[in-house]
Amino acid sequence: MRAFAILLILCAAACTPDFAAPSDVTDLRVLAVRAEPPEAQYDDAGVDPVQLSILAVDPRSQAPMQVSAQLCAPTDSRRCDEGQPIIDVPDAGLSTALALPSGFLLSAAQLDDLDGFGGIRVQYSFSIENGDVGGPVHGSKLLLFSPRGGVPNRNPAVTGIRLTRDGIPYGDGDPLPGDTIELPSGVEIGLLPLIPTDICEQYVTTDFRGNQVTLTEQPRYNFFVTPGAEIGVDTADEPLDGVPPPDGLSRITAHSGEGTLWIVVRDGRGGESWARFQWKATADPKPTSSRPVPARCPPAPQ
Amino acid sequence: MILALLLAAELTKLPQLLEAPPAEYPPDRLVRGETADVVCSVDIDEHGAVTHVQVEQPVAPDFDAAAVEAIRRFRFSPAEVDGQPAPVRIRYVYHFVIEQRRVERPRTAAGTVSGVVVEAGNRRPVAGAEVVDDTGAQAAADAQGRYALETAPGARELTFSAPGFDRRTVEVTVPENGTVEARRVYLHRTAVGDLQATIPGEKPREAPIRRTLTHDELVNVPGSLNDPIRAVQNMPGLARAPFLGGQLLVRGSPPQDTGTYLDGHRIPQLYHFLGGPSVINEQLLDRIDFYPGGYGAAYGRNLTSAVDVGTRKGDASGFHGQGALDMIEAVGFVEGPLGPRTQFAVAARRSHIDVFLPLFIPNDPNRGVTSIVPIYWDYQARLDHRLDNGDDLGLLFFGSDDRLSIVQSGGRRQLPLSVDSHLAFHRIVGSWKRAVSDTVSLSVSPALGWTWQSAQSEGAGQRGYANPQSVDVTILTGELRSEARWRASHLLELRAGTDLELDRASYTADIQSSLQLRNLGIPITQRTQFSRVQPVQIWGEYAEAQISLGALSITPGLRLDQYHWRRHARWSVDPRFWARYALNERTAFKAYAGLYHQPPSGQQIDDDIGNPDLGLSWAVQLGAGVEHRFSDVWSVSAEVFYNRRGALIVGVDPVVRADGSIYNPRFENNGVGRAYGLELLIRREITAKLYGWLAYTLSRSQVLPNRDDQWRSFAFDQPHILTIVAGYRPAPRWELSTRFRFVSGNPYAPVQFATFDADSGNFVPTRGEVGDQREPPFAQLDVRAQHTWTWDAWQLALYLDVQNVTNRKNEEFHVYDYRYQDQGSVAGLPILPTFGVKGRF
Repeated sequence: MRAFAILLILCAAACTPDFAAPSDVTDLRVLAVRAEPPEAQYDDAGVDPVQLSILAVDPRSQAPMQVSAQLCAPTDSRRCDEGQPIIDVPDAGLSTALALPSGFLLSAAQLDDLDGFGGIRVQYSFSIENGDVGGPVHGSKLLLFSPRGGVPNRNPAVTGIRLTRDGIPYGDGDPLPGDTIELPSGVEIGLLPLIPTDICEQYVTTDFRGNQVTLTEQPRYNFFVTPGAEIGVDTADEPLDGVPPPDGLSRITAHSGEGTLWIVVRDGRGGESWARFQWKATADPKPTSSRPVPARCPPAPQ
Repeated sequence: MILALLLAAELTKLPQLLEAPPAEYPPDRLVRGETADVVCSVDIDEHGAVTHVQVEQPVAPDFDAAAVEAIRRFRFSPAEVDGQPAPVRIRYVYHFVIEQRRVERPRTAAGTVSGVVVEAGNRRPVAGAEVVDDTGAQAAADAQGRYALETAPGARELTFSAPGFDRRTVEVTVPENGTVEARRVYLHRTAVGDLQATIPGEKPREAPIRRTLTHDELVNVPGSLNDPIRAVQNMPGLARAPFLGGQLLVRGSPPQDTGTYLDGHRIPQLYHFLGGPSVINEQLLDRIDFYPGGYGAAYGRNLTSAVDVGTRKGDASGFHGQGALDMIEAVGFVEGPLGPRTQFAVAARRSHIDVFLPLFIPNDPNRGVTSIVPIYWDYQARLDHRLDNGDDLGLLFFGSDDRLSIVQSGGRRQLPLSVDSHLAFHRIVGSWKRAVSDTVSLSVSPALGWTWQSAQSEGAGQRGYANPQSVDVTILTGELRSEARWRASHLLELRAGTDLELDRASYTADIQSSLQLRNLGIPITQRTQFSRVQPVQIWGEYAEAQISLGALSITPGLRLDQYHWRRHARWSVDPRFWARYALNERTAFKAYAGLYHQPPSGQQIDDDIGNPDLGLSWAVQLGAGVEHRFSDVWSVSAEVFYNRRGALIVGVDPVVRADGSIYNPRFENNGVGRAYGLELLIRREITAKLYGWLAYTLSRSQVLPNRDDQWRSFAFDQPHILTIVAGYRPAPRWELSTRFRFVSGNPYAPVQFATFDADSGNFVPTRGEVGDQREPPFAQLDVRAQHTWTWDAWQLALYLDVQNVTNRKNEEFHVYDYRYQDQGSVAGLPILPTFGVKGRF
């Protein structure tokens, strides 16, 4: 089948329809869900509460978003199917406070093939509707609960963004979340998310043979933009060697008008967060100037 | 059912006409000056005597009877199969021609004219060619094409003729009481198919059914890319592989369930990659034994089927060769004698598609720039020698090398992608055959092999998978096949043999492996390096008995295999049985039943990435069918089959044991499969101008990966497969052929809905079962035209092969956008013309 696999690669490049890119936000989309904390703890006294925030956007409509949600044990479909304990979440919204009953946690553990190994997982399944012609968007987030006493995971964060042009820092400084970025029309600008230096946590987990291993988080970034601009690379990982490319981890080209840029960061352990920037196409490019390379995660151990 | 494909034009020795007493011309016809051509099929026994003559295309009763009576008195030199005299059936056209000749007796001392008569284009002797001069003196060419004509001295005009050839006239001056050597005479063929040999009788690997296809039928079918082995894919029982793929998908089973052999020894692959040709030059092929099911005890270790390609000896009659050039590759072949009992044959091939491929690969700034460099080559060299005591010794060297390099950069890709893949293998095969007596024969064939397989990638994935990764595998192989046959009586033949295989695989891997037992949407990888040597020993023994009870022939067999790898041992006992009952000369029934086992692959039993405790997979095969021959030209064969497979190796998830520890075997023998169907083959044998066949398969194939799952369709479950092939030769220089295929679309699991998974950032589809929906049916028409120019010493053929001549858009498989809202399909190949030139001497 090797030849067939190679033919697939070739034809995937040449013969596939031209689908829309995930980075182009043109209708109702859910881009991320943040649980705070991403790893809650429990003991005999009870379960820590969790604050859920959903990044749902729709550039075409300002209509309010209606959210409905349920809690259940993890499913293959990522939806709370029938035939298992399900809890409807009252007053679910784009920001929801959850207080999980201990008994529900135990039920979820019993339904797990690995008996809650590595933490008990509860699935938060939701749907969001705002009258968009495409219908509701369904999403899910796995909530992780571990026994009290360990070191729980923390959410990552994007503290800003470094813009580059032809590998050289662009503009007066590094914009902060919420800032408006002026981008020269038709020019490709590099994007490098800025992160806290302690974002890449070390943690202990179990490998396939049942041995304890220590791993280091490596953030993954997704880039999204509204019409009028386009993203060069939809998904990028934090460099393994700790050295970012001079032209950033992705690129944006603004053509006209203005819009929104989102950068979502995930740590691969359930932690995620995002930063939002406004962008505006301009005919007056800003100058470039040398600046120190921002600190990154240390190189991943090999 | 067994499908044996013979390349009839390459028998070890064709029958040569030695004596051809003329027929009695029907008097009335002679008076009226009427001529005729009577087409007959002629049975010749192993002594060269004619045993039966059958008129195939009657002209008139008197002409027909005269032709039959004359041919009955013909004498031939015996045909030889594998160097042994054997009965044969040929097609012969008897020409009734009226000539006016003045007969003179030589008045002075006679002289002699000698020379050689050969066929134009390939220089093969035209045995039995008639030489007549203007005095009426006659002679006939012998098996080597040599003649010696005694005639009157002086200027003579010699006329050369033979059935199916044009006439040539040569002027010679004959000395008195002397001998003159005339220049070589080349006769051009005027008709096609006048002399075609098909061979009834037993094949080396006996089986309930045997079919024969000629070399030209195999090579000139459209879409075969001049490759006879690809023509196998037009037979019933084979699913259509996507694009130009050469995978053998036999009776609803994956390619790894079919064993591929060359002269009885396993080879890693039968085709070059990217849908390339087979790894063996078609000129070197002697036979293709294809067993779609129910194969005998001589083969084993595959659940479903076997393909054994046999090579032939070089031509002992003279030096010949062939060169071919098309858009994809260049091929060369040469053969000939090295002595009275020694022959050689050498072939080589090298691709040059890398030169043309950039013209077809898109380079779109949005999607990136792609560079693809595929290179393949192969070689075969065979040496044969017959000892004074009659033993046959042979030595075969062959090898194949596939390299593929892909580089993709730009577009929406963070890192450039580069993939390098390399597979090469080389083999040395020896053979020794001895006919101990008329009833006992022995054969031994050792083989040594080296196989290298490597793959390197960078940027092939995200996170750690984008790191450079490499895998290198080197396998040293030693094999030994031996067999003894004893024909105890005309009722009983016994066969026993060994099939031993010793492998030493050493591999080095530097890869990124998904390390975590559990993750939240994004796998964490870690660099994994290991180097290991894995010896595997497989000892096989088999025995078969063929019992002939008149019209009934039964063959019980038993095969034993013992497997040893790294502190593990497995063994299998495979009983097999088949029977054939000839109701009459034209109709026969057949049935078979057998048990088959297959070991896991090296990767599946690896300590780190597999499960060394895996057991053998098994299959039970049952089948029954009927063959009927309507005439010497038309025949039909129908067969029903049922295969049940068990202990199939499937991937499994980790589980927690009762003591809280993790059990993660990665693979288990949990899978079950079943396939059943009907296969139909209607065939018109090759005759003067026409040949063709219709193959239809109605079948289902399903798998059950684990006990808790539901039955689902096999990925290439194609309930209806129809193939129609037809070839037509309006003149000797032209050949036109066409192929039409209609195949059910491949099954797939439709997406019912998709949910955004916040932890990975991807949409997770929920699908039905594979088989809930199918792609649209596949239909394609291919055509081929070939024109041949023939000069005295060589031939040149130019061909044009157009696949999908109607440019129909066939859908190979489904694709979806990132959130499974938009869907499309990947189309199969568009209209694909290829042209090439082939020279032969």
